[in-house]
Amino acid sequence: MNTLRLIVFLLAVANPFHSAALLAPGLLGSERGTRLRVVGIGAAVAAAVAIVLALVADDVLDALDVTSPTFRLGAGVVIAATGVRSALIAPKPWAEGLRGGRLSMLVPVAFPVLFTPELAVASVSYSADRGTGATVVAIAVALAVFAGLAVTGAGWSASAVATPDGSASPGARRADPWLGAAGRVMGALAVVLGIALVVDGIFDV
Amino acid sequence: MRRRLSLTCAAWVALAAVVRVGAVPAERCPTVDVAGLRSSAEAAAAWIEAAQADDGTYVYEYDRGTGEVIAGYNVVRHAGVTMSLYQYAAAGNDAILPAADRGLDWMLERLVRQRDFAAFAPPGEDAKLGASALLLAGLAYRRDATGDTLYDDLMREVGRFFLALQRDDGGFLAYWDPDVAAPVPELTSLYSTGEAFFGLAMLHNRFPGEGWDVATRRAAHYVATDRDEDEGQRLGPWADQWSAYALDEMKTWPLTDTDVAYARRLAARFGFYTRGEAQKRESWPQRHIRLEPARGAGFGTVVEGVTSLWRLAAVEPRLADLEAPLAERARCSAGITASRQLDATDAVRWPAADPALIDGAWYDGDRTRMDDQQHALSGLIRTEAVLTAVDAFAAGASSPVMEHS
Repeated sequence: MNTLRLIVFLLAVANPFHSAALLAPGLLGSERGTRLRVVGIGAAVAAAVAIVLALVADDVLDALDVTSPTFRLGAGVVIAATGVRSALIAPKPWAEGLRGGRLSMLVPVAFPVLFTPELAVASVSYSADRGTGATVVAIAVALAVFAGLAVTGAGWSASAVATPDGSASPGARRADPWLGAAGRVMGALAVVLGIALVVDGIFDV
Repeated sequence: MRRRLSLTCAAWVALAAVVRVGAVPAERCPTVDVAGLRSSAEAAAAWIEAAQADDGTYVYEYDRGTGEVIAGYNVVRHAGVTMSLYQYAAAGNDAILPAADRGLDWMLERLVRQRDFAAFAPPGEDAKLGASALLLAGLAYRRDATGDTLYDDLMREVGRFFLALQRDDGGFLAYWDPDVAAPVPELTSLYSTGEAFFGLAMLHNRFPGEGWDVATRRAAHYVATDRDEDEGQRLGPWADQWSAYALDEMKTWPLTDTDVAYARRLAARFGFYTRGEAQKRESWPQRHIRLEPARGAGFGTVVEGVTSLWRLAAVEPRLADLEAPLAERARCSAGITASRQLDATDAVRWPAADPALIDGAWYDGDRTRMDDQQHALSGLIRTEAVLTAVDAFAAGASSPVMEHS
């Protein structure tokens, strides 16, 4: 139950729909294998960094000289603030350098699209509060969901807007509307979650 | 892409800076050990002793800038300061007993007896529930310290005063008018309800089988359910260290689920205050964001509350998860308290002041009030058991739970 709940929390925080909407248009026209490689490696790198943070959560708190309830309070502020952004501001896709560029899986896929401030603080906070194992599983699931959405989302966008010769039309630079809408909903959920974390941080010992 | 990446990085850094400064600045907890606690408590008790007049009263408020004693007195605080001296004696410091007894004698000369009860009431004033409750607490600690049963009957008389003021819902009226031999109707106090709750719990533990637990449980239920709302504490629970003391006294009765839920909320409130105080700084910008450090009396009550609830959590299975964090907050809050105490070397900075009223004190600006030393002293005394238990556990004891006085 703890792990399941954490997966839902991490899905809201990582917001794979928003991330997929940021990347899917840039992957238009590329081969499915290329998309899988770029997205998969990027998600793996982001997940690895987040998992490392989860593993050293207690050391992070010690280094910052804060207790876990206080960090939770700060994490809630970050998650709520970035959730507002996701809920209200339409994603502006990263279009450049995604079609097989050698480092595109690192920039912008792993950073800054996937490894975000909210994912970083959530990894530390949840690991400190709810256990490292469950947090690691939740991070992996959230970013796997992203990878699936980004690949299939790009496919949907491609089929919707591709020109007969297979290249992307100017309209393809928009995110798939379905991804964008779902990203906004998840952003709103992250706002609620962030506020709940702030309250929880205040009303903890 | 490079420009967008730079902007994103800049936004990250700005967000991190704002959150770090505004929401999660470092919590600084000065280190304190048992020897440091004892030394600090000894200095605080010495301040109270030095501030005591021959008639048993204490310097109420003192201005170190002018060296003047500020006029005014408060009988509830007199009772509280005296109680803290008896706490100190009960912790093994018998030498303070003469001073505590002088403070007690001043109250005993001002008792009013009506019906079957006794209460502490200076001539011409209403008898206050809170002052009488702290008189009773002082008598109980005196009994613990000395084994002397001389005042047992007086303790029972004061307990009956609480019963005379207790309402059907378990709450208390705060004043008794000796002129009409009746309670002052409808007047309650945010403070005295918890104080009376504490006094009743102490009575039951000192005199089991006499039925004091019935009124105590009614008071506990009222405090846990309706008190905060009745007293206008909309963001409850109010940080009531007296109720924390009372819950500690009740820890083996056992507590009801309602009491336990209240204790958990109370622990969270004290924990939040401890964390917040640890984030305060003298330097800009924290001084403006988090205001000035709390005065000795204010933060001392937090130390008392945290340590009382730690005692409860150490033996109450339903609160076992709070034992470790409360121990951490106790160590932190006591460390902060000890670090803010002035010593003899500070006295030279205020040439007009009496050095004996600088050493061992907690000042708020240029002033200290006697309860600044009272609450800090009580908190420091009660932290010793926490550090001793935690250190023993770290050294290999089977459990941090031990007999807590």
